[in-house]
Amino acid sequence: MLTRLKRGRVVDPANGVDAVADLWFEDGRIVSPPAGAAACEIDCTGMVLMAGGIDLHTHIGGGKVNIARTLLPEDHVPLHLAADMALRSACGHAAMPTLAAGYRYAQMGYTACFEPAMLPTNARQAHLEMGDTPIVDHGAYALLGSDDFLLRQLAADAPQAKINDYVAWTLAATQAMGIKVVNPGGISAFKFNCRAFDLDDAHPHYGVTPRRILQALARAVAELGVPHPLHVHASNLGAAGNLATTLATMEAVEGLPLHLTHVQFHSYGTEGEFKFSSGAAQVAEAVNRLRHVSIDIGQILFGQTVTCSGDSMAQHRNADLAAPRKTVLMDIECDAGCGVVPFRYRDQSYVNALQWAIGLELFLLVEDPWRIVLTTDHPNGAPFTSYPHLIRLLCDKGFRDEQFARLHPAAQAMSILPSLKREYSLTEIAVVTRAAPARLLGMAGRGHLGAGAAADIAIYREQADREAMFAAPAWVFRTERSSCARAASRPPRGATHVVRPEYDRAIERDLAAHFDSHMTQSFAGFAIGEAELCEACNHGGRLHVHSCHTR
Amino acid sequence: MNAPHFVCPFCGLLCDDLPFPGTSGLLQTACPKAAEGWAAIRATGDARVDGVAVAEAAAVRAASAALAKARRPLIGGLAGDVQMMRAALALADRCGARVVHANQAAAQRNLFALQSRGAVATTLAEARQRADLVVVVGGDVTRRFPRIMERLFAPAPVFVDAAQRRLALLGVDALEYAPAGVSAERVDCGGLDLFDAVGALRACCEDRIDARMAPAGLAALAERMQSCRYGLLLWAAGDLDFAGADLLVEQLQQLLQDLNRETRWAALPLAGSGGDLTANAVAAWQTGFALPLEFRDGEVAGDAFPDYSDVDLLLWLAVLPGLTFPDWARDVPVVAIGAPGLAPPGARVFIPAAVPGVEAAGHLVRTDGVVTLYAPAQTASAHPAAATQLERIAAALEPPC
Ligand code: SF4
Ligand SMILES: [Zn+2]
Repeated sequence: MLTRLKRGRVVDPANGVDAVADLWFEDGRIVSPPAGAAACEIDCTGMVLMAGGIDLHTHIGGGKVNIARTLLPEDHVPLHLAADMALRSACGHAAMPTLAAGYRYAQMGYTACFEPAMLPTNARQAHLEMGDTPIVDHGAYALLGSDDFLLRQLAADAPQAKINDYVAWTLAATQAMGIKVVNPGGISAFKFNCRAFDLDDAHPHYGVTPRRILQALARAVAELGVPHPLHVHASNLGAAGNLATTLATMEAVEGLPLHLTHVQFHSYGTEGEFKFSSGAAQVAEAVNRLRHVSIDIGQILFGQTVTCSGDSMAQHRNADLAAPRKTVLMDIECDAGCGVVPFRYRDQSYVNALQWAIGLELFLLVEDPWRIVLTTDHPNGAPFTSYPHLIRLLCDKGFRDEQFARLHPAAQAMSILPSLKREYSLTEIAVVTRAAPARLLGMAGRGHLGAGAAADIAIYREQADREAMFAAPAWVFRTERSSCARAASRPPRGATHVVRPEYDRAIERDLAAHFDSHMTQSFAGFAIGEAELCEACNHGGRLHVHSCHTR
Repeated sequence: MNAPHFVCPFCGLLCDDLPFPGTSGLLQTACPKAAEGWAAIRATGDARVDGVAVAEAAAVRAASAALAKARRPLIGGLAGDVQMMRAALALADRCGARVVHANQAAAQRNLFALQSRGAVATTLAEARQRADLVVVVGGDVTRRFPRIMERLFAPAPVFVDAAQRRLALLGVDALEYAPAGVSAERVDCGGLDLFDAVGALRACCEDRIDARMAPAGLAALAERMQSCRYGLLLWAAGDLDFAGADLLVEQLQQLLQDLNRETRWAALPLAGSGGDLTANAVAAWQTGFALPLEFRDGEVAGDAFPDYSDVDLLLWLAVLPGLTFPDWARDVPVVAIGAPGLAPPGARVFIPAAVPGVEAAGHLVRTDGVVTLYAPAQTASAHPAAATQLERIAAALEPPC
């Protein structure tokens, strides 16, 4: 149905547009203004039109999130949803169940979400969960770097070509969109009872350093032409003084593309009375200087949440801080691990208050919005439902100052936040919530409103209170046609996004042998095929295979 | 074309290293549980209403009518795959039903401990490659999981010298299917019951008591537990069938947390048979709650201690064997979907469905809760999958339910 969205303010930074105009779409695609009349017209006077939001780092599916849900029955508050939409009953807060996550993202105008830490041995569950996440498109990054196959190859000085084949096989076998590394080698080292692991420490069994792991994976991702840079959760998560490691990590890959995730948790110095200080200025300076680096923030916001991480080593360190006091740690299948620690961030805690300020300092000090993405590392810094509040903090200096005044006084004394006058424009918000993540993921038809793009559109009533504005869009369009004959569902199902670079299948012989010696399932049954993926996703969504351009 | 590999669906270990028994009727394995499961699902049978064979469509209509009439329906059993559970939850949401797995009592022993104190856990591969001390607690786990020792102890481990591995039995006399070449030592608890024995271990490991005050067998075990490199606690919640078992699991988890301050330890709680981990995983990811749970008035909530007194219809789902039909349901009208050999005798309506991993493909969650396997179909099926039958029942309901 040809639809015309009339006289709205179109904010579309990817196409350099911020102007009042009409926007047309038909059959799930944005079209140029046609000659004929629209079958449907919506008056958008006083409204702001943006492409659907894209969250490139949100823990929405997979084992550790499901552990968190099970661990915290007290977390789940009912969602009261529109009765006329044929929606399922749902509830959730921090450890958000899949149904609630899909509905709540869509309610905020988000139309695509990426699970950043899919363990290859847990990939089936991740896809099953994403398949039960309604409305929004989804995809995942396969987690490598503490898996025994890679560590064995690096210990044996395998050629880079073999690493590339393994990475490409992993992407295909787990139906992934990118590659993530978490505390490189550290999750494995923790299984050997190692408790701290810095960039140049040798792995207790394999002798390999995190630096070497980062280099091998960043090179593989680049040489395979995977659009999304290696997604890096650096060493020393959350530790005072980890700033030095973070800066060294940026330099370690020698100019190859690198996406540093939840940088807020990696920007800590050791100054001041409490030996914990902001490293935001140094990290932002490095990001501004190093054009190969992109980041997302992992902003914390105050209140109850739960932290779910693949970084079992760091989460074991945090276990004594758990609130409520119950932690789950797992070692996983010669592959990875995880740790789930419930957490309550308090503005009267010096450390939490400063973490809050550090995240905002980073947002305001990094100059190029195209290399920074708005995240709370859901749910680790805060549930994603707090994005509208975070947007207001970025757009409204007066509001920010009011909130700052509530912080622990010692934290106020240690932050330069009041001196940062910058306020995000709507264009900059559109960049950090849709246009930049789309570009960083290589999703050509998303994150913008040019002709041919997907008609994923969020329409907000323009209001001075940006929190109110972004919390409840007037309209959200998510209209892509399904390619699967069995799809007949309302609300719509999202698509799965993957990449499939070429590789030499000779690697599968080595992998089969590795499965025999190390694993406890057969290699023959490991890979997720396309028919299986369709079943996992409830026969609903399309499969988008994004192209890889070998550099 | 090669035959698809076979994932054995008959217990939570989901072994995929055995050949499919084909049509010969006998599983070519020493695993008694697999042979038993295979026998249980071999029976064929038709759809029935009130004991009379009918067309499937007629049984679906009868099931739908019964569900529409029921005021407090309960969907139980739940031995099946992910797709079955998805369809069961969707139907329960429409009808305002409660949802309970037949293994609930055992599952809650681990669940309550988790929700109270957290957990330290591991998976089959880590356990096999690393464990130099395995302590079996509270029951002969090999009766419920016959190949667990084989899966843990063969072939040789990668990160530990095979000769250094030890196996200790705490509150267990002997193992029916012991591992080859590894001797199992029964720990002498000096007359203490399991609760006190675990308490004494914790006290020794934390140096809260002089180890000489504890029974010698326990003091020696505590000493070994603190000096091993990677220890493994192994239990099956189904074996811990006594009051307060969740508190024992909580004690075990706290013992693990204490030990991990210095060395590495983890638990491998064995479960997953009869689809219990599968059902709970799907329930948790869709709703946030482990089973049992309840849909009512457009809301979903956990229902840890359900009251069954007002159940007026039980929709019993069992495409996998191994469930015990609950006592409370003996006088409740039953609509059953499943393998013909698994139908409760008094069911008013029975609808046959394909067995996942044998007659239909299906996703199943393994004992460690991490690895989900895709069990391909091995043979053609005379019946659709349970999920399809549930969707047909839902489609036949007059909206609203
Ligand atoms: S141990 Fe369990 S999964 Fe393995 S063969 Fe026996 S019944 Fe099947
Ligand atoms: Zn994260």
